[in-house]
Amino acid sequence: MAKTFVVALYKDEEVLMKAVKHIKTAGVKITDALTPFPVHGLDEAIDVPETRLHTAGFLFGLLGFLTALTCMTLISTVDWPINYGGKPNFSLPAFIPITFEVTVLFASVGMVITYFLRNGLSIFNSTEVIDERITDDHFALLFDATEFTDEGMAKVNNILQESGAVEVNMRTMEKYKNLNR
Amino acid sequence: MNQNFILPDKLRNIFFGVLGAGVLFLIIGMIGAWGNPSRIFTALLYNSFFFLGISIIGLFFCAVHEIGFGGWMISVKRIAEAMSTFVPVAGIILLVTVLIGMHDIYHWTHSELYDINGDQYDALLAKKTSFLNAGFFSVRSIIYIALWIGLVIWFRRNSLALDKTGSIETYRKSKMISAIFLVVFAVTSSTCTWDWLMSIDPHWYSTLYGWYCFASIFVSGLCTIALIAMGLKSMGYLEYVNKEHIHDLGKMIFGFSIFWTYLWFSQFMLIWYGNIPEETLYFYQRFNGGYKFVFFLVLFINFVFPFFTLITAGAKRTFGVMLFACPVILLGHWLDFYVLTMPGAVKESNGIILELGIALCYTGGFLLWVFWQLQKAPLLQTTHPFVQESLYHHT
Repeated sequence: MAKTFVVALYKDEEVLMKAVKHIKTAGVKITDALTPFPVHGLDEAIDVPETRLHTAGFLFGLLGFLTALTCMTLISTVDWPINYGGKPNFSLPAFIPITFEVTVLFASVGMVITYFLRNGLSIFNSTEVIDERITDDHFALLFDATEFTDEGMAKVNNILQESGAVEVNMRTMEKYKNLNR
Repeated sequence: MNQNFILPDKLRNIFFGVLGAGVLFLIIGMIGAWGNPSRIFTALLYNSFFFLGISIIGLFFCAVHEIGFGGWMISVKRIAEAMSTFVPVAGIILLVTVLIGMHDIYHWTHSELYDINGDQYDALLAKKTSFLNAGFFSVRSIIYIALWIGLVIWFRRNSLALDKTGSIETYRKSKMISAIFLVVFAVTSSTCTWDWLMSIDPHWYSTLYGWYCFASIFVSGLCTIALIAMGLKSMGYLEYVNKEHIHDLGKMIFGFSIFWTYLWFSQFMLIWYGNIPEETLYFYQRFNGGYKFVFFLVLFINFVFPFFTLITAGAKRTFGVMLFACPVILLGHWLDFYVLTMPGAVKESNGIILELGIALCYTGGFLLWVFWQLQKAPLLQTTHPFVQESLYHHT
């Protein structure tokens, strides 16, 4: 879905952090921020909700835990029972190391795959960059242009200029997906 | 900011109340345990070790962060330091206990085991006499305690000097003391547990025993730091300690609870798998004689409970959850030392009233001592180079 944004570009992360505060106190809603590297504290400043990736990790881990335990139990008690050193066929302590390993494997690989899928990162996907300069030394704040009237647009423009933006312009993204909300 | 702590009379009375309750339990327990000196001395030994461990972890916590440039700990450094000043008290009680009660706690001190013509001759223990003999044992115990007391006093004195001078030389000196302490502690934390706790079962040995006990006391020490920090905060001090600092303490509590479980399980599984009588004896004693419930309860409290309580970031950042979790984990590790020592020294379980009495006495004394030490210095060390980093700490 194509979406039009007001894009404010900044040249420094500290200016950016101050600008975010300034814009928020002026009552303008920030849709997204795009930066060349992670800026500490920016997530909280623009009210990005906490990631749910760790919940996914827990669920993948649980899946791995159950898979390993069921597999080993079925193999060693039903399918192919073998007597190892007089131990019972269902020996929980012996299963725990493998259960642990499979839990870690499922959780880590699952989280990586989830992350890539959710962010649309793969070799078959081309990513759309709103401005080439944000991959180098510029920091962009995005504002949903459809929310502003013409008057409001002029006001927002002023606020952004005040906040230290080096450039404010309109851009359209063809397949924007807001992952923050 | 109000940085000079004054212990309110009400709180002091509560601590004295805990101490009094402990004495009461102690008297009741002593009536029950009279005529069983093994139990009395072992109870005193493991309680002393538990509180000595918590105290020495105070210094370990400071030293590790001092060496690793861990700036965030400055906000709770005074608490850890005050805890470390309890080392002389617990250490000397422990030393007196092992020196007087040696014959009652440790089976290997009995001289008839080494009489080659006697019917109780023990060939295995006879081979260990070069290490396990009363003289060398006493010397080692004295050395551990003396080294720890010396380093605690040195570190504390230097830290108080830093308050006055604020010079970078004093700070560098504290790094040097930390380095010396960590080297000393790396060796003594293992060997002291072999001597004081593992030699209760002299035929049995485990190479990870030292780390196991270290993990146990480290988690307990971290819980104590977190609890005292939250307690001081509720009294209106330490306004700069916020959920970020408690979150970091919570992460370490969580991590080292898992580490403790890892060691517990490694020890258990290898012995279970190998199934050699002289090794399985250790678990046989704990599965019988009335210890089985406590033995598995310890695993539950120290692993399952913190794992599910503290797994989310939100839980570690909520004071209520931490205030609930920390005392439970402390209780779990206290019970852990109970099952580490009691089955070897006292064959059958005899209830826990005496042990509880000693623990309450120690708790009251420990808190009185720590809060008395907290009054002696400002709660925030403003002359430390990392103090700003600690105030703006952010996870």
